[in-house]
Amino acid sequence: MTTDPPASDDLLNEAERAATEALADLAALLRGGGRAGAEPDAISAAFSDNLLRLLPAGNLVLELRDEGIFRQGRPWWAQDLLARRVALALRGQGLQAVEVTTQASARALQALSLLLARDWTREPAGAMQELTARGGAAGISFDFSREVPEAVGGGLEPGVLLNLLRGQDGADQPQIAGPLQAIRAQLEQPRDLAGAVQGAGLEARHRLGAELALIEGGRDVSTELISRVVFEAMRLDPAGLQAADTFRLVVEHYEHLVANGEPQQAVELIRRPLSLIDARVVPLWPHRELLVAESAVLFDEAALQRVLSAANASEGDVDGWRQLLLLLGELVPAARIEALVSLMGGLSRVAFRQAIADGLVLKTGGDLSMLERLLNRVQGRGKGIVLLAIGRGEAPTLLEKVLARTDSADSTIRLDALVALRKHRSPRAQDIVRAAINDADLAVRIEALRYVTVYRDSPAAPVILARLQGLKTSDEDEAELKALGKAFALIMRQEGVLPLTRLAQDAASTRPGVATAAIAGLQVLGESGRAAIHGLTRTHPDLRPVVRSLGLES
Amino acid sequence: MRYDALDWAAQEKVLESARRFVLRLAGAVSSLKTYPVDHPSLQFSYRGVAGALSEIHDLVGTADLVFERDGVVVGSLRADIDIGQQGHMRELLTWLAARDAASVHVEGTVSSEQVQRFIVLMVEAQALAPVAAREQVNHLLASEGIGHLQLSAGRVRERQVQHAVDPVSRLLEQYLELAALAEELLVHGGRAGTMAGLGQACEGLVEALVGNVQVIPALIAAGEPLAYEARHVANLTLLAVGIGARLGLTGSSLVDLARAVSTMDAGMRVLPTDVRRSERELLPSELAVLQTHPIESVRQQLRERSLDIGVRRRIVVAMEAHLGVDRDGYPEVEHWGPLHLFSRIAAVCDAYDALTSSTGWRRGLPPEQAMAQLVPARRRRHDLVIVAELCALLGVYPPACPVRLSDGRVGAVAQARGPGGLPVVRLSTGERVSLGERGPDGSLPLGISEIMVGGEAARA
Repeated sequence: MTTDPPASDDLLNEAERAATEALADLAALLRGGGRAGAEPDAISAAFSDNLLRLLPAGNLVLELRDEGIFRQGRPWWAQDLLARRVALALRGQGLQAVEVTTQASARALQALSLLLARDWTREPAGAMQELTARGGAAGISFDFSREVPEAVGGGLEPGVLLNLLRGQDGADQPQIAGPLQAIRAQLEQPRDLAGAVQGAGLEARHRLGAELALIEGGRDVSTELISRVVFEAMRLDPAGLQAADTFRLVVEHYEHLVANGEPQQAVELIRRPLSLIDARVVPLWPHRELLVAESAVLFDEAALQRVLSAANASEGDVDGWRQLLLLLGELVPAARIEALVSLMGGLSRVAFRQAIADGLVLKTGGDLSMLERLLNRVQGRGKGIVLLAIGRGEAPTLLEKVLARTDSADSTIRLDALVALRKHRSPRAQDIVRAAINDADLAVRIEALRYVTVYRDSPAAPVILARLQGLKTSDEDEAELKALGKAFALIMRQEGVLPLTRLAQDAASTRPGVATAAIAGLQVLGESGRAAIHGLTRTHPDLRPVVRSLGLES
Repeated sequence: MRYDALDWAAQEKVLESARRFVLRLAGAVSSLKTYPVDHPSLQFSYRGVAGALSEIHDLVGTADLVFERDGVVVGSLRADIDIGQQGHMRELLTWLAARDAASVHVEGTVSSEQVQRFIVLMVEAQALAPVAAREQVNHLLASEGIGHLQLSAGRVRERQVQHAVDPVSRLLEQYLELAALAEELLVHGGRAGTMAGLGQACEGLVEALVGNVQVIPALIAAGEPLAYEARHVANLTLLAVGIGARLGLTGSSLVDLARAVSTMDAGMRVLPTDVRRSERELLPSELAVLQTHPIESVRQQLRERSLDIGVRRRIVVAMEAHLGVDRDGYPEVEHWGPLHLFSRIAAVCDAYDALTSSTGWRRGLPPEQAMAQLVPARRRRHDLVIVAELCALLGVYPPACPVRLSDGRVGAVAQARGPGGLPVVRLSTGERVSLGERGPDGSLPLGISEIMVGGEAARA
């Protein structure tokens, strides 16, 4: 005695699954949908091949029920919407069952797939029976013994009346003439009573006024409300796959909003449904793991790339982008952290990179060892994001890692390292920042000035002054020049008046940019600064345009 | 060739090949924007076109493949192609129109090289006027030995629906069209384009109905012979538009209301048939299944491409229509704010039409009784302002409903249908006034000017 190897059943199941998938693909395609690039002939061939693998195990009898196609009382292809549509269309033609025997050829099976998948709702009743009665393929027989079902709830199908109405002399048909006469009579009826009725009355109408105004203005349904609806739809859905489907649909809208440069709306839409991942929100929600898996779609390479491109291309709604990036950092699955950080290193604004970093800090709950590991693994500018995250913590050992990156060859990483040092005031950090005042990169220099200004780092003052004095041309970045002047003034306070005055005098005729920086510094020094500016404009008339350009009276 | 004599297997093959021919040709035409005509990427399309044409020829002999806006016709057979889903179809039709071509005539098997040559000739003719382009292509095909492939003249056919022009017929047509689409969606599961069709039907209905809301009862009566699921959607849409118009909604807001109401139960289509069409009281487990349909309706609306305000309104109505003002309905949402106006309108219309409709398993209530059920004494499932607007719209008043007459006097409806089919009102003084009694000049001297709700009713 021999027994089939266990794989045999698996192979049959696999063939059955592949055949039903092919039928589903074909039905979708013939109804105007289906996968992009799907070819009917290839799909029908796949159906045929797999049925041929099944047939040696015995004839195949497929029964049509409203829920789909069944075999031996078990669902064969059933319970999804398309299966239901296909089955209803076939049952609408009166088809009860199809029997396929081993005599059926590959060509006949291909034709069968096309026949079953065709949208029979567009054909007149009986068309399928008439067609198959002509014969066509050995080994396939059709059972039309079932009565064609009547329309639900009894009564006519509206399409029948519609066709009558649109047909020639339709208005004379009894089913149409009566209703038309009744409608005409209503139209012709004097409206004395109807016109007098005010409904709920003016007071009640008045209460609706604000609501009606919102509707007419198209401001009645916020994204936040849609988000709430989606949250509830997912929370209450008894089927996990459907809840996941709802989430996927929302993600598509989220992506549109991101692509349209509407990050605030995107965050509002996605935040609440995503909150279902958190067990504290709905403790016993059964589909959480599925949602966690689905949410990975937000973090795949292409999705992140789209966020990156849209954020970098955006000129507005900085706060919205920061919220979105923070959310991504906070919710990124562990397996995608490295990818997220590496890619988002390409964000052009430090504020955006900081938002990702802050999200990571929230996610890790300040687990600095994780950040340390991440720093070692992430390549390129993504390191800058990790530095920014580390900078939010207090660990001195990790601070060393930040300090070590302040001389990175990549100016973005140098900048991120400096930003990460913002709340750290160790002598080593201060030394490094002072040196950065002369960095090759403008953004790094501005960040360094910001730091020394905030901490009133007096040893930085000579560095700043030396830089101002050393500037030879007048084409330095105006923002940096002003920042230099103001930083010096804010560090030195009243002691800065004299050096800045001298600097303005020296540069008045030859280096107007430096003079501008000096006057900008004097400007923030209150009464003594203003007096110095006044004096300068009297002794150096060529400084008057500079003073005016700073919005001061010369 | 008699196409209706083909056996079913051959007929399916012809349809499949015809569809493949059009889609591959459309794909090739679209690719021409990116690639030169001899690029290897196009060979797949050329082979597909050649194979499909040859198969058709093998099966039916000489054939004309006639392009339509949403399909292709071979003899008496027609293969549907959804233009909304197959974006390249539009390009193909434009491309053909520029060459005055409405069909392709094939008299023999065709190779992929011949198809490529055909495309090349079509491309080269693009600078010519349409008729000259077609003639040149045909001439060159014949002279190069590819004369078994020819273009035929004409404009691509449209499947035109002859719409009614008489406004009365138009009203009925819009109502029936909406009902037909609703049936397609709910009973047959819908197809690509059903939702868009419903939108257009709603636009048409709103256009026809505004200013003519007094015909609503006649339209509802016209729908009585129809299947319940179809007429119910059409009826509640009519009622909602009537109420919306009375409240002052106009234009796109009114269309959005109609669309939201007509699609709010779209999720019913996936429910098991025995639950959806049950003729008995549902078991708790069945009820639980039924009550999931708003979730499916929401999902259905989320499939729309963008979240414009119309879609947002549909999503909200799908979720809220069965919640009830007092949250006594379903689904069991948490921390929900006030219901949207559209949802409150939808709920009232839905309940009223369900109560008044006779189905295969129950008889509908008379309008006054149905209206009375919408304003129960204790629970407050519905917005009474909307109920009052519905009363006014239909001229139907529940017994004991507090009203103000057009001369300012206040009373309550004592009899919903008195003389002339109009209510009899008992005034606060105890006097009974029959609104159907005509004055000496034959007119109706008194009407109901206000149905009092909330505080007003209490004060009265």
